[in-house]
Amino acid sequence: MLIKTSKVKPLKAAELCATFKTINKTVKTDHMTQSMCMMGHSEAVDAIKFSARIKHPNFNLFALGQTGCGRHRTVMEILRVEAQRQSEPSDWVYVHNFETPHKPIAIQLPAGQAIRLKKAMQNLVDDLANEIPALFQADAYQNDRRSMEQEYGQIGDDAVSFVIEKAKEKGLALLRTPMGFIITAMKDDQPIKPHEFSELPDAEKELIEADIKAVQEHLEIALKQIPENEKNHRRAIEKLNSEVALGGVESAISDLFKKFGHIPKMPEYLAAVKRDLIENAEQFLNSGPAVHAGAFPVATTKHYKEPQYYVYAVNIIHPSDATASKAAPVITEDLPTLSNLVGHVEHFSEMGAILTDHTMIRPGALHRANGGFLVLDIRKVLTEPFAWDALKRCIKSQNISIISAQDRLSLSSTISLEPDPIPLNIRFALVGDRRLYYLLAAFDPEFLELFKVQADFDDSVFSSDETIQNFTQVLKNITTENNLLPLSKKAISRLLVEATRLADDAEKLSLNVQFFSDTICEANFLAVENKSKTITDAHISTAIEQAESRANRPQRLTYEAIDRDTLLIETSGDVVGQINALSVLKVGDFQFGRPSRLTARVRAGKGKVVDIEREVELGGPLHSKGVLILSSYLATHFALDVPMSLWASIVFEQSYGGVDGDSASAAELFALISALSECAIDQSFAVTGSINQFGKIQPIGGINEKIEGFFDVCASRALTGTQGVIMPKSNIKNLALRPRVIEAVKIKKFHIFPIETVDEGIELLMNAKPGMRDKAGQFQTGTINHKVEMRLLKFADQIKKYQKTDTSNDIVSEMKNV
Amino acid sequence: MSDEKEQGQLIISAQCFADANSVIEIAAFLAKTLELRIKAYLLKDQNAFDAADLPFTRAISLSGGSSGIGGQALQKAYNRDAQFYEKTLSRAAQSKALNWSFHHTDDIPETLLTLSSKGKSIILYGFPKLNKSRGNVVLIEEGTHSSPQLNELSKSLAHKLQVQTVFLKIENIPYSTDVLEQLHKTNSALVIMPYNLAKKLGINNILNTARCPVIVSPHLAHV
Repeated sequence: MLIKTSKVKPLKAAELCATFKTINKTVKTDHMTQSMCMMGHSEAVDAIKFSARIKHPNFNLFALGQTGCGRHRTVMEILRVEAQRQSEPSDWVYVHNFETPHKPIAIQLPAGQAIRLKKAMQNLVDDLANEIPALFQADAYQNDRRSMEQEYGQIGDDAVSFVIEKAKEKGLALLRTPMGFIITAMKDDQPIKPHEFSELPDAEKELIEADIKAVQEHLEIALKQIPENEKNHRRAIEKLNSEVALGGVESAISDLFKKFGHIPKMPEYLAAVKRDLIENAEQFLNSGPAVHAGAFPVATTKHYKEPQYYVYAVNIIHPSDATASKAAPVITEDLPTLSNLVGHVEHFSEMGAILTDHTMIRPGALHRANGGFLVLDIRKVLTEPFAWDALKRCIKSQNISIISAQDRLSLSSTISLEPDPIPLNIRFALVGDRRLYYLLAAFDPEFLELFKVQADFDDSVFSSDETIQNFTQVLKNITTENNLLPLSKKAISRLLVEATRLADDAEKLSLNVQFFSDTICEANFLAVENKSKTITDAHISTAIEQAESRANRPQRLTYEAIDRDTLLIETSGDVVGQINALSVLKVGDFQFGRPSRLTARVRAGKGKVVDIEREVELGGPLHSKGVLILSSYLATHFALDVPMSLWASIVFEQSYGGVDGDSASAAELFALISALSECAIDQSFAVTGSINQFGKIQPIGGINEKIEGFFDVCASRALTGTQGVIMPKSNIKNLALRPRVIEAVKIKKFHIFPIETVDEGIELLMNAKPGMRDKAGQFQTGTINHKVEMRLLKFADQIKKYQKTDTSNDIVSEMKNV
Repeated sequence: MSDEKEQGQLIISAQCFADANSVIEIAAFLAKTLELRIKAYLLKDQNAFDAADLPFTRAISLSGGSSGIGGQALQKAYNRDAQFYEKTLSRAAQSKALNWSFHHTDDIPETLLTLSSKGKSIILYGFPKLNKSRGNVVLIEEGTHSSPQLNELSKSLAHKLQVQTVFLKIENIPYSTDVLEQLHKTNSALVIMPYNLAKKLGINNILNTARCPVIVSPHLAHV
């Protein structure tokens, strides 16, 4: 039954979807970001530039927005441009700390000097490995060494020899035993026997005893002098070695002093290297020419690779790549673990021991980005243990300190290093969604202090000639950058329509670049399969449909249940107190509309509308709010002179999950009015929209899916030409319906009625005049509103009568309980 | 003691473990190089036991510390040194797959010297160096004649010990004190000499003067 008397006219096909003509004018740039900026991210772009340029610490950036809107890409591209404006950052190296070996020293070098220092130190080691053995093998050194050994060897021996001579002179003998030297008296050139000794006169015994004791004391002194003599000998040799090594080391290292001596910390470091080289010159004596030099000349042997020379090695922390760009670095870390951020110290196993040294310090993303920018995905940072904490610690302290998770948990029991912290000079850019930003702002007191700049990316942009032009360019760039077929004009138009649908607004374009990129890629696949030279609108539509069909299993199951009358939905006929409401179900990133049967029953009562969904805790607060608003509408619109004496119940039939939102409040009101007026509602219609207390119909979300949901159910049963959807007029701007619906509307097989008031809906649904109050304040007889008011007055009268009878007390008390 | 007819032997003479320890590495090297069988002796000098029982006798260690001594304590130390000696020798010999045997004897160094005059025995007298200077391998020879075998031996041992070789030529043997004086002035790491010279100079005199291990070689042709 199609209303012919209603003032409300169905929408024309042209009003159901925005239409676009692609702009042929070429835009000035192919740069995606610039196009995106012009399309509506200008505030975000300004924020990124501001954060990149301001020099004060803690003005770090948080780029927030919905997934797929191009946050990462925009941030990276802007920062890359900004990086070009900034000077090349300093090099950083770690070198051995000769005083405190477990605390390697960090040295800052002018850009490009790190690799030069590393090579210079390698050359130094190689040179000394060749020169020092020659110095020590020289005759002069060998002669000095021999004479020194002779001298010191003699000193110790002389003292012992003296004692032995003394003993001989006194007729004593020196015997060697497992317990040491024994001194005994001689008789007839043989050591005296105990019984012979005891037979000696006492005077002689005493003399022998005194002599032996004297010699013993001398021997003790002489032997005790030997270690002291050894020490002196050792020192003398060390001194000699130092003097010999000094000449070689000084000439070799002087070049390094000339080249790097002006750099802070370098003079101290080179002096320490020099001292160590001189003190440990003997290590070079074992180097010698490489036995396995093979075809290469021995002189080219890379001695610096030998493990004993690691102490002179230079570990370049930044830049890790010598061929790196001369601009400030823009780094992103896809796996922001603690060690990937702040670096880590590797270990190696030697003879069962776990060891490490400064050459095993590995830089993290913070080291690589130092002097530039570091872009991180906040979700990834937050899901890595200790990563967020470490990041904040580094920003606050303005230092990069290498600390491992094992150290944090005190699990490390092996030798480790405490490298010098490196001063941090990084502008951080975190990318994440709004929810994370607001959660961090609410629960992490340091967050807003450390990330002062937010770049909020818009989800959509108003459609205008300029934005359409830029959007077109973005689409073209997607095809260019991905080596795809070109887009036809109609394909671009189709994508623009989809952009409005995605934006849920016919006047806006979604900025979800990821969606368009995915769709174009899929359409390109179809075009290539069809051997087409361009991507056409048909390819785009098919790509969108296929993507939806891959995800729409829940929708198919729901419609199947409706088709098989498991879910009871009527799309024809008239029923009192029953209406088709529309809801949207979202599964993953796919959402679809679903018609639901909504019923209302009434009787006399104490003015209460029971929301059954709420009673069983399936209704959310917004749904309850909608029910209360419609209750208020009824109470303030009808039977104003008597107490509200209605008891009504409203329910979504066959709803077994939660219901929320107020988009069914208009449908609920129509069902109640139908129940009260006892006028049937045309089941060819489905209704969506919320109401306010004055009976105005307000906009709701998901309008396209809701309309398409009811259309699909009707279409599966064959369209009758009377079916349609009643929707809020204010939602017209949100329409971006699929072509199948538009086609049906075009041939008048399906209708979409925009309404502004409850009365307009009543007229459409019940095919009767709603009725207005006349000057006397009465509704015109026979109208729906009049019938409603009469019914309510009747309920009030019933209640009044019941209250007067004795027996009515029970009923009243019962009603109170209802 | 019986001669080893089939294989030449290297006799190690040590009065304590310190003596033995100073020569075991050299002994293993020589035995391997010259294909000799090691016959190791720990000399138990009865004179030392007699002296130990004198009431005022004290033992003075190599580091200069002194302690009381008695026959029992000395015997205990002797037994302990014997164990160490045998164990250390065993390890060194096994690592080079050498034939070896270990013996206790009441002989004195001079008595062992007579073994060198028989068969092919080389005698290696242990004596720990008191200082750690490297010293030299000292080859002492009599007259103008120079033994190429002893020369070769001294060179290979000098190479092994990473020291130099010093030659002492004795023209007139009666002036033995001059020889010993000269030996005393030479910072010795190891002394090599022929049997007849060792016999003439007295092995104890040589040991007390050189205060380092001494090799006595009997038959030059076998070296």
